[in-house]
Amino acid sequence: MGADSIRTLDVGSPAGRSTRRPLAGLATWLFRTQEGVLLLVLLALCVVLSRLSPVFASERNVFVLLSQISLTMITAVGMTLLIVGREVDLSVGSMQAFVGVVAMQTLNATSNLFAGLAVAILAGVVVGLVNAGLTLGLRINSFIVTLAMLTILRGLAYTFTDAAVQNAHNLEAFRAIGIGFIAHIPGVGRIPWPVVITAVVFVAFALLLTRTTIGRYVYAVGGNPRAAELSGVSVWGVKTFCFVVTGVLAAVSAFILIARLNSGQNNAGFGFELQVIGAVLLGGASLAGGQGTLVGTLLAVLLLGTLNNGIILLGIDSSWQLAVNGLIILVAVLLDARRRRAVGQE
Amino acid sequence: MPMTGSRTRWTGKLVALSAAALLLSPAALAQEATPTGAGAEGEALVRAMDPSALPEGFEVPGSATHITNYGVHEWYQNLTAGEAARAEEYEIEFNQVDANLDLQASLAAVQEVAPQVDVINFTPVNEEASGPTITALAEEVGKPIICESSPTDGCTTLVSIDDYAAGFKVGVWAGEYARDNFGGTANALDVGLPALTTTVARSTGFAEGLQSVLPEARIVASVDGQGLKDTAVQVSNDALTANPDINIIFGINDDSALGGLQAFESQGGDTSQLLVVGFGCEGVACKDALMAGGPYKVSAAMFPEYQGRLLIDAGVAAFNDVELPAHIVAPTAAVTADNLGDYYTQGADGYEPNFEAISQISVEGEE
Repeated sequence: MGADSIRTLDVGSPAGRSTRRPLAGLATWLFRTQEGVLLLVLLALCVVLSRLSPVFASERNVFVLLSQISLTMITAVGMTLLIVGREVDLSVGSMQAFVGVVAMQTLNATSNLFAGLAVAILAGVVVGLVNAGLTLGLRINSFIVTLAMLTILRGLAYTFTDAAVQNAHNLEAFRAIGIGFIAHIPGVGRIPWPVVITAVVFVAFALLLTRTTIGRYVYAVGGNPRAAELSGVSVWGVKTFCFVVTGVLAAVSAFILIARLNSGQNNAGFGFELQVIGAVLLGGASLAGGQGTLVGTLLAVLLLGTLNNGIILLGIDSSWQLAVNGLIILVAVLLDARRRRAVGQE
Repeated sequence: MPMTGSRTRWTGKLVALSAAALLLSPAALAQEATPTGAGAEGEALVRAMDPSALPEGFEVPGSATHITNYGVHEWYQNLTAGEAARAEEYEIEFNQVDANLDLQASLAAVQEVAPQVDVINFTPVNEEASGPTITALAEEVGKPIICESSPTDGCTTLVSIDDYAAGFKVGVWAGEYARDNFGGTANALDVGLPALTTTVARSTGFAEGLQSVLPEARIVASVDGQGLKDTAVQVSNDALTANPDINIIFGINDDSALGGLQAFESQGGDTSQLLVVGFGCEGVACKDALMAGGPYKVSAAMFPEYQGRLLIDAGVAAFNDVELPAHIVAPTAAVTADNLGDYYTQGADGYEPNFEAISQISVEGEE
């Protein structure tokens, strides 16, 4: 299956219409694709919040917001690959706790940043391989496998430590990863490390998904695994790759989390998996596989993050965050269904 | 169900919320419990219990089991450690069964355990839903059922703190600190848990304590940190951005207070102009933060190990048919770097509670 034919599976793709009439193509993209609708909603929300809150558009708030969404976005990148590949990983929430306590214990024991990071990433690889092995080797639904893994990892996090693992190493570079700034760019401001890491991860995997053979294989395997297999694509290999990427990126976000919290919390990440999966689905990915883009995921994460940010800036009871997030996802799904009907794709 | 903590895990925000709910005990819901007559005598007896010098004729129960609701939390680990140590002094066989926030498992456990032990300590997953079962069980087995955290129908007595009073204490402390160090300016962020009566009582107590010293003090933002550090960091970040004049952060537990502090630091705020006020101080993180000399200067300590002792002592008293009041208030104190050493001794293995000093804390006027 070639790249072009695969991209037509993606309802978010402009599919070349813009080459003839750029403005019409842009309008079509804005109003008839998931990414376009998300972008419009996000812009509208930003305009409203800017008018209602004097601090919303401030440099400080923008970077606070971007730092806040970084953990979700990094994990959502991996989850997008996995969902496009027709699998899912519910264990990413518990990974925040498990990887966090293990990495912090390693950091305390070694006082070596790279040792802590290496252990975190290794844990992500192992969890990804186990998830892949059980899902693909035993042909068990990944929902079930990773639900079990979610429970196992949470239990292990509690087993490893009775309480949060506090920072006993005091490495400056470690704290910087969570709350430090990489540089001051004139006219932009101080860029937090988590934002830079997120940007690097996003660009790298956006290129991988859209410009490489493995990226095309992910869409092929997710869209029609049987056809992909008959075309010589290793379904097992591609899905294992997606599981491992998801595990590693969840581990990276867990590492940033412990740097931000300055402790490995065994109760971290409750409900994080739903937040991540919700954003990926809101971004246009389909649990049926073969559909979804990282741009869509990014816009969805930004939208949900902005909404949460706005709720607090406006002094609305923050308990509404959960309900409003759910409502937004529901609205997005309804809009998507309506859009699909309009273009005759249902 | 095994007699040691059954540790089947589950997840989700609801679980986290419920967890926090049940940990952060609603003494505010406690019955009007000013003990009088025999109840007062019973309470005094419990507070003065000494396993090596029991009143004449007292019998020691052979076994006690605590059905906890969320055993993985540091509060319950320290509480049950206190119970176990006290039980050992009495030579009582002590066990713990954890319901892990499962109401059905909690009620099944208490029914299974009741015939096998002499004293039942019980932390309800949901006090209202547990009431009928506990009431029926108390009538059926006729054994002491000592409740912890939340008042539940059928319990012999409740052992828990007064959340409002503890919040008020640290509120007063914060007001005095702001008066002396911030020129009387007090703009507070409340990292709360509005879904629960108990934690609302803590926040209310703090606000009223603060305003009792500084009537102009303001709670400029109240956010729901859900009792979890990662959530507390997130919501505090937004609130601090919206209200850069915040100079006091109050958290309804250690994680909430520390999460608020992390958010403040991540925004590059001047921590010399910040006061962080915590609640609970059951863990090492709070105590280390207090001793570090930073902005985390005071916490309403709940002394879980001591409360564990009170639970066992109340059980022994009730086993000997001593009449107890509806609520035995566990002590709390505003602990700081200056007085933490009065209540805890720092050793190689962490902080050891000084029970003698804790027992001297007055609970007069608390209910």
